[in-house]
Amino acid sequence: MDAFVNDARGTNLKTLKTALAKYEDNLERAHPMLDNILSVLDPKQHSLGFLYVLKAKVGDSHKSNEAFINQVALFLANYSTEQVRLAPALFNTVINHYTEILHQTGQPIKGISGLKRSLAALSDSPLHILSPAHTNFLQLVILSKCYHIALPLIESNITSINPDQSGIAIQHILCYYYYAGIIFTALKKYKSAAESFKFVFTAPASALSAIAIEAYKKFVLVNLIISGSSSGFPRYTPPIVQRNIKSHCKAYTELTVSFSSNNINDIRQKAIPHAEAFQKDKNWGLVKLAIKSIYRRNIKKLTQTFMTLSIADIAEKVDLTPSKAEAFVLKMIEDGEIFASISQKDGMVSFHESPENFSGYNVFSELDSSINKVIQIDGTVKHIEEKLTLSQAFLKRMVNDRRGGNNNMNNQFDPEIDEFN
Amino acid sequence: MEDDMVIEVAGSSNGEKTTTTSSLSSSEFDLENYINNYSGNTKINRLIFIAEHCKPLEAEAYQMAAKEVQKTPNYELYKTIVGKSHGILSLDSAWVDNMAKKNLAQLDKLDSDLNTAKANMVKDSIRLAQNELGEFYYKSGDYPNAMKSFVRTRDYCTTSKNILTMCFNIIKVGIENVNYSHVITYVTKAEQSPDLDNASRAKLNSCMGLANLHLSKYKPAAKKFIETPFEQANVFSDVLSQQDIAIYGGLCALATFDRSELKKKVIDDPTFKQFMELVPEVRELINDFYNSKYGSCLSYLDKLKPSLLLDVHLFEHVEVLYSKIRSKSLIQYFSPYVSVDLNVMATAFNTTVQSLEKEISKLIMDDSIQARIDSHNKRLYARKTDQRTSTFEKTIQVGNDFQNSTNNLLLRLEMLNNNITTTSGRNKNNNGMDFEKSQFLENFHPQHSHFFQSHGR
Repeated sequence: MDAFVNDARGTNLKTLKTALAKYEDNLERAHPMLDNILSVLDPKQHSLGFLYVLKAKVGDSHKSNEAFINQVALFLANYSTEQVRLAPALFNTVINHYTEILHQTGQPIKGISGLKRSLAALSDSPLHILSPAHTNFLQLVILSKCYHIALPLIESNITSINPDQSGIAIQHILCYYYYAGIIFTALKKYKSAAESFKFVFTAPASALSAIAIEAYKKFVLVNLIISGSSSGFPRYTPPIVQRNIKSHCKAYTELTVSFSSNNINDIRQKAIPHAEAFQKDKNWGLVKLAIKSIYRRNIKKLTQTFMTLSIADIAEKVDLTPSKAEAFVLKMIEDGEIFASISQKDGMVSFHESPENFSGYNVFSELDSSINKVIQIDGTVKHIEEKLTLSQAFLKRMVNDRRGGNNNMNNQFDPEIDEFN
Repeated sequence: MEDDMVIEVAGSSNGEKTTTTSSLSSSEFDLENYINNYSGNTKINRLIFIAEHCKPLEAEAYQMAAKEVQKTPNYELYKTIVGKSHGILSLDSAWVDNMAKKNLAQLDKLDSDLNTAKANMVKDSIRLAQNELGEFYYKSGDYPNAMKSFVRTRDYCTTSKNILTMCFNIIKVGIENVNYSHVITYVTKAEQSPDLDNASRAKLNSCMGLANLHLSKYKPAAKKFIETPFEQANVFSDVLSQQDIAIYGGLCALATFDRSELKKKVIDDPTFKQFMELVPEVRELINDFYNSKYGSCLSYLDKLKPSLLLDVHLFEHVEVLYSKIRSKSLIQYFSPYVSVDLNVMATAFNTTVQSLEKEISKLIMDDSIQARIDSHNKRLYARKTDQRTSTFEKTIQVGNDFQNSTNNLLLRLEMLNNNITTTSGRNKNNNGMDFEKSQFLENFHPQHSHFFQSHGR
């Protein structure tokens, strides 16, 4: 083991990985000694060696969880990106195990700062390139209910992955978006939540995954909360998903259908037989929220129709008791959903128009940043298109199509092809 | 389906009718006068319809219907009428037996006529024989066979006049048989005929209008009725009377035309004016509507309603047309105002403020009126949409949508490029796919969702 420590202290990055890889099996067999080895390694300077030892500890079922948590925390606080990138698979295993242990021991909040730092380990730009650590991070955020911490991450636009660098696989991506959807839902940002869930079941697929099914269920419910109806599949949804997913979500489809009646008692009646299914999916709370949202939408409709309306009339029109109706209106005013004031003297509610007049610094800076983002995206798309049209595979295909006989159809591509022939 | 609907409509308006028809004494609805506008099968049908839908007129109508039926060979229908009449009529079984025999003989004769004609290979006589046969079937109420015979004459038509006759025969059967797709096809066919006289054009237009009315396409129906040329004689009494054209056309136009169309195409139209002269109520109510005297217009409509409900073609559409007209008058009433006192508006429409408020709020919710109600002060205010605000809202929305969709597109592209997609567990040849996704989900999913469980309380 001394030899390992010596090699781990080596400074030549090029040979470090090969030098250490041969010890992997030895380390697995030397569980009792691992803590000692760690104590003589510096997590910053000898990150790779440290990582190898931690990886070996993952397989040790007798280790002290507390000690492991502390060691990983120490490692994450100091690791060297350069060395970690030599062994992404090890890193992912360690992080994954760390997350699991934090969950098992019921202290997910402990790992959040460490994992937040780990986002950059295998991603050059943590806000734009996804890595497996992202998924684990969101998982801890949800477990510890510190939803706001993840907000900057999930609100940024992920557009890229780098599997060679980070070893990311499909389930990481799907789970990342599934978790993001859950966080958005928890923060009542339903539109973003729907977008996230939508990504999960529209991701490229030749088979139906359980993650996609769960995401679709939540997608349906979130849409019901937003609008009381369900939007269909986007055009680019994989056909296999479009064909099969509904058969796994019967209760949800029926709930959506019942919503078209807009009759609350009716919808409640229809939801009850499926209550067990909803509870099993742990979506019962969302179902209740969706049903409740009907009141909100009805009240909102009233604000567009009336300028003043008595509480009693509101109650009658949305089928609630007056005191409950008042509470609803009050809550909606607080949430900024409607603009109104209640006069308790004569029991009248006056509805106002939205005071937002879209002028001032904030609006313009927001618009400006939006425009800049769009320009940036446009640039990326152009770049990709250029790359694609110049790629050998594309050109070969074009030439083959042309030789395939149907000359007339491909004439429009001639200039490009001639250039490269 | 169709039948269900008819029954429902009849049932729902029944209560109303018993009250309205009690005021609808024979002095207001002159059955004899009304029914003399018609001839042939439609006369019988209309009488039966009235008898079924209007108690006070039942006896009179059944008697007249039986009398009419006995002029035709349709003894089956006669039996049905007598059966339906709750003992008002007694069965003349001698006539029935006699007629049954006569019919058989007649049918034999027509069949042999047809065969002789076919043997002689004279086109025109075959056509005539087929026509006779069709006419006989039509009169005995056997519409499918009538249709068959008339369609068969098609191969033997030599002149455009023949074709026209064929078309009219088929249209006639189609209308009685409530088969409007045939009506539309053959009206279109007949319209291509080069020598159409005014009378035939009138028939074709009104049939097309009727077909559109039945399909609830009120605007084209109105146009067709209004374009119908006026004929002095009642040329089309076996389908429609000229009063019908005035009523159908007027109501459909009122329900669907805008103000300028109404003025140009209905009120100032010299031909349609002649139709309207026949039914002064329709003329008055259209004028009242145009002159914004909605109260009097609506009261005319209310007065007309009981008799319209007794119309075999219109009764299904009366409610729809009436509510359309009512909504339109509400919209038009409000259009020039910025704010209106609901009390005044309610008086103008002969209604209470409460029910008016409900009607208007419905119209606002389907975006027919751009306004908001001040329920406290009972006022209606026009709503001006702030173009600038809505443009800003839309722009920001579009921008965000674009960003979202493009970003997701890029990521999906990247996934495809790296060959990272969901594949079935059986052929997991992908990099990094070392365990089943479902398993992965099992491991992580349930524990997090406690939040959703307790959330909705």
